Amino acid sequence: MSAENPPRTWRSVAAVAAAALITVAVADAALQQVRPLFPPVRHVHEGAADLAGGDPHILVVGSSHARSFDVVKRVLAERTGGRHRMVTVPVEMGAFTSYRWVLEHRLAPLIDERDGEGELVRGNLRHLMLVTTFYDMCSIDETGADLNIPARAWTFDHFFRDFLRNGLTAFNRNYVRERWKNLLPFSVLVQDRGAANIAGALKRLVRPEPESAAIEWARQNMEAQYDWCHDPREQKALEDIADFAAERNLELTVILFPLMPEIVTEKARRTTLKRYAEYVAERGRARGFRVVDLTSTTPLRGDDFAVDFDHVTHAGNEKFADWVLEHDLAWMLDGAVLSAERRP
Amino acid sequence: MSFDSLEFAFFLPVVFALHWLLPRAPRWQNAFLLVAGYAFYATWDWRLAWVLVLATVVDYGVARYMDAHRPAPGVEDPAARRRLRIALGVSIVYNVGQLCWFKYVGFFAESFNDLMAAAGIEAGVPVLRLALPLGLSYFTLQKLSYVIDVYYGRLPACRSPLTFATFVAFFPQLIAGPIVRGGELLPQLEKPRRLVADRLAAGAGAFMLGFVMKAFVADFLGQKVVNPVFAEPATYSALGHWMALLGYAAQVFCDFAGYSLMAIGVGRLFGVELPPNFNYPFFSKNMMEFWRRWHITLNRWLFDYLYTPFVTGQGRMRGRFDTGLMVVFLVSGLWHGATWGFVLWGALHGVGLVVQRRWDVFYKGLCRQDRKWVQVRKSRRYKAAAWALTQVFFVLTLVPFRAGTLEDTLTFAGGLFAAAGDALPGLDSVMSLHNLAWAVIFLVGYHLLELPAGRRWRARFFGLPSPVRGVAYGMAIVFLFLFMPSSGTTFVYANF
Repeated sequence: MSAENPPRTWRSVAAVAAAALITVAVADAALQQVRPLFPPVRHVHEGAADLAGGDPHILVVGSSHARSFDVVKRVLAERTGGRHRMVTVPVEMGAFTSYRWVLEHRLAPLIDERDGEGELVRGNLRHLMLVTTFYDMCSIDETGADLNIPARAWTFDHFFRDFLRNGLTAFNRNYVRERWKNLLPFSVLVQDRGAANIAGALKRLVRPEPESAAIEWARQNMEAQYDWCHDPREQKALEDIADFAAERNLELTVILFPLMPEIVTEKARRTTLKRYAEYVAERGRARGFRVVDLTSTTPLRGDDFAVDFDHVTHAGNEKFADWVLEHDLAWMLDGAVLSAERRP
Repeated sequence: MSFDSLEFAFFLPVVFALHWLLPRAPRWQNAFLLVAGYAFYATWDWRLAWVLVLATVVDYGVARYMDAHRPAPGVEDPAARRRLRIALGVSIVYNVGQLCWFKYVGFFAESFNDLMAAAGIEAGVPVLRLALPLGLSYFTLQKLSYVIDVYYGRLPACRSPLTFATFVAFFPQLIAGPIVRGGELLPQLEKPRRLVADRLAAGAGAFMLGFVMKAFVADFLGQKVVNPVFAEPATYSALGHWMALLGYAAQVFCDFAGYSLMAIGVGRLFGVELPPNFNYPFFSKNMMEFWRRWHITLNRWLFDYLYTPFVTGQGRMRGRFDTGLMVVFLVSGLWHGATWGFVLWGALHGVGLVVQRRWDVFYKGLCRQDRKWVQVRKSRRYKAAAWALTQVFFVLTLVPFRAGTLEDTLTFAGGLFAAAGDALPGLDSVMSLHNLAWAVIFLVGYHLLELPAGRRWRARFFGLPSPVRGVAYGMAIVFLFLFMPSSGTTFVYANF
């Protein structure tokens, strides 16, 4: 195609490149009106950094819902005058296999770190809390949460070692993709790659979709997951996490995080949710860990959940923190959290 | 890492910048391109890089030996000739042997076991499953053409091991061609390259066009239209089968032509011009023309280094044009992959070309008898029929090419006429329909722009002020960000 093109000069090449760049920037800004950028949220790296810089009493690991515990952490600190310390480590799109990986590879070196005299550097840590929902036990295909580990939790060292072992693969390329996104946090075009939120927003702009349709989809989705939310690999990961806690003398608490009441049907309650709750409760009895089922017991209502029907709003998190510290997690305010014997 | 991957978006600017910061001397530029080539290759699997190293060493040595032992012009020296033939034999045995070892040994062992089992004999030949070094099929042919050219004195042996190693490992064409010849690339590598605005613009343009073809059209069609139907043909209707087949024709074209354009574009960014690999094959009106337009560098290799020596040489194949065509396309089929589906695909094209050759001979006889047949051949109706026949034949032969096994080929081919299911592929959402429409518009537009009226439009576009063209390119980039499939597949032809 180039043979017929008039000869280009450096000036014309620069003009084309500049115009293209400006067009992309303008389009990016315009699209942010349709689909605003998400505010930055905490991930594994920030959680691990918090643990490295502190000596908490409670370590919370979980999916994106673990971020709700950032508010619990603040309220806990307020009510105990800062004596009861908590660190949260949210693993976006996590599942039990992801939590296990994060515990074993990112957090264990910090939890087990000892000083020159052989004493634990973070000897106050006594409680491990796992924030879960039914989909933490769902089968994960190759596009699912397994890939979340390279994207969200790997350091360059993990990437490089995997690259040397396997070359560049669909799995470890998620690390590169995430670093690329981190390079351009101000661009909605970059942040949206793979999520198609802009395309969805544009579609809704042209053809608005009633909220009821989205709620119905969420309901059906929850019911349908009954068929695959009992993956043996995820179940094994939960056992490994229980071992992890037991080996370190950590008290394990598994929390079943609240779901938006409007998307929980009677059928889902009898099937998907029941299966998950019963399984975790049975494993809790067998392995001696505490299970706190908050699926439908909190005062959170539809308005307390975000537009994705999954995450809790800021106001909802405040309500949740106040309520949970007065009810199922009131023991966190107890002095026993502090006075328990240091880990060996 | 492939050209449409995110890693390449990091790799290319760094390599580009460092390359042009170096002194403009071939030694520096080639050394850097060699390092970049091996780094690029190592991202697939660094443990197989030794295959590339060894193959480079062998053919460099063979070619240098040939040059050193070549008899002087006009001097008959049978002993020297024999030594040259032995050297050529060493290279052919090494290259073909390496290809067979990695690519075909498992296939032949398995086929032998199956054949014996059919005869009631338990052969039990071990079936090796070896990892195929990426690009082996391509750089093997590239090096073979070089050694054969040196043997016949068409090309002097490359004296510099650095230049030769760069010729073999030049990363834009290392993984999937174009299969470049020594005479095309070596002279460019021996001279210092300069960065010229015109070439940079042409390279960026070719890369972007190829990127759209691969990352948007090919990946979308593959994921949404082709793969679901070939995976579960029983679910889809006959129309769904035809959509998948036509979609595959478009996918494989956009995938490989897109890759080739990106390779050519990247080559230009480093001051190197690679040969074209595609020339609007869907305009072809007969299969011979088609193969002159599709994967040009492979087919010219097969015809120049296999067909021509066979049918014009002094051996038993001399003058056996039909047999020559069959051999060439069976080899082409096997080159594409070690499955019976590829062999069948090659055989079908061999037969197709034999039929076409015979038809040409027959038709020429008609023309000699009555000149009206010449006019018939020039008529629009004849051309339209020839075009339709060529394209339908090509599309239908893609069934074994894509299906892989003979059983799957028969299942899919049956579904084209009487399918069990009633589903249609790629129509599950508004977004898919939107992307399908854009893919079709792109493909049709791409071809229309090559017609005389389209060329005028193209010239008009390229004559627009630079900022206006920049805005158009910017909009294309935004479109790709929004609608390009996020989990792109590997290049179809990189698997061969």
